[in-house]
Amino acid sequence: MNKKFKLYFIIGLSGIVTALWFAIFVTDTRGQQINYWWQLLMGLSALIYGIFGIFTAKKWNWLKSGVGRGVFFLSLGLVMWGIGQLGWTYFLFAEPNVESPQSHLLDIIDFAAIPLWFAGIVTLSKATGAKYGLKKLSGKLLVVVVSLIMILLSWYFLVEVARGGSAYFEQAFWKQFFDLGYSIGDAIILTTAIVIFTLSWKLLGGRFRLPIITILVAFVLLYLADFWFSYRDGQGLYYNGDAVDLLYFLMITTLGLGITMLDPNRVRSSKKIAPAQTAAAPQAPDPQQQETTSEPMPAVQNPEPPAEAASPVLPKEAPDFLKVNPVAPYANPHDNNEQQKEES
Amino acid sequence: MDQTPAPAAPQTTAQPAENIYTEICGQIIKEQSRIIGVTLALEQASHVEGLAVDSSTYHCTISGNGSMVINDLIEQYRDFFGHAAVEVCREAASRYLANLPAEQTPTLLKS
Repeated sequence: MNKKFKLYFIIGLSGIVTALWFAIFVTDTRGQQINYWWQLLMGLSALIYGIFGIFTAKKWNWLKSGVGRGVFFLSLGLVMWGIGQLGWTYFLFAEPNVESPQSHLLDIIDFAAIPLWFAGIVTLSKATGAKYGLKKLSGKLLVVVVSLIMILLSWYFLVEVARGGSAYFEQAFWKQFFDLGYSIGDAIILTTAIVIFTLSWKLLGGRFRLPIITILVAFVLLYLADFWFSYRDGQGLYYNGDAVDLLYFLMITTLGLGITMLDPNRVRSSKKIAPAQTAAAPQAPDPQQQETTSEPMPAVQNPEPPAEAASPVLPKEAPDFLKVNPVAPYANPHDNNEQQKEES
Repeated sequence: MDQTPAPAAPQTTAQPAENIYTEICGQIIKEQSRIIGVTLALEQASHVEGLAVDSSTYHCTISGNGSMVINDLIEQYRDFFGHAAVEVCREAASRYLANLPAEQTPTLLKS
């Protein structure tokens, strides 16, 4: 599944779902089957984009790298959000007259996205260089100031404006927990994302600056969507297919795009390449070598042959990641068992 | 039979520096692999002229100017992931820099 396909799929599906939302919105359709089907499409989109992201984590050696862990947790969070949304949609079809199911299982599944997204943001920060920004006093002050501002703003918007102030806390514990939990979790994630991004602003570069910015924008949308949902739901104005749902869907699309853009492969056609030079016997690249050569990268003192079909050998002049199916010819020194399993 | 041990070869500044360069390269690649994964870290290193890396031990072999090879390696990672990668490289190489004179320290490792 290459990067280009994933990006076009996300853009295409999101375009269709957004167009359908506009049709629902313009016609002011409420409480109809089409509203429920739209909710289903939203949940399905989140699930698919999350699965795309999980496959993207494979390109970064899964959980064995900081970026891989970040991509994996962000994607898993999106998957959980999608499953939760699909669960809610099931009840829309099965029990349309029930306002909310008695079981909190769906809340738990939905809520699971919050710590997963938080873990994803934090592990991704190790790749963005945020910790180097903390070495300066200005960085430390920034963390404190941004956190304080976000706490105050979030309390005001999420409790005072959206929930009518402290009287909200007189409700049942689990209702408070899940209603506020989403919003507080969103606030924590957004605060963390802003802090990390601000600390790494000067350090972040290369091809992955835009994806990280895109992921940050997604969490801004999530924060706004949850706040707006809390407000409209509290006022009794929310309906399936509401404008709030479009904001949620934009969040899903933006997060899906950001994670997919973290795929290290380039979105371009393959070019003819020559094998790389070796340090042991420096020589000019053979111009007759084809790009799909199965010659593995020669490594000194490495008796292990490549386990699977080796990736093409790249010259130093060629752009990175020309191949769409990067197969690691290298053994992972941290896990000898992995290579033995591949060879068996 | 007594054997007089051969006198030790005179230590030149080039030999220890080359050893240090290979250690620095290995440590940089190892640290980058923690961030971006083994596959991508080694793939980026494979683009650096004059550098060969043992994929299982991260042992590096440098041919040519070691300081330039390290600079090229750091630039490779910087092009891939931005200046954050340079900081990772500096952190990885920090414990070896004390053994290098200033004129032999790769420019991108100087803070």
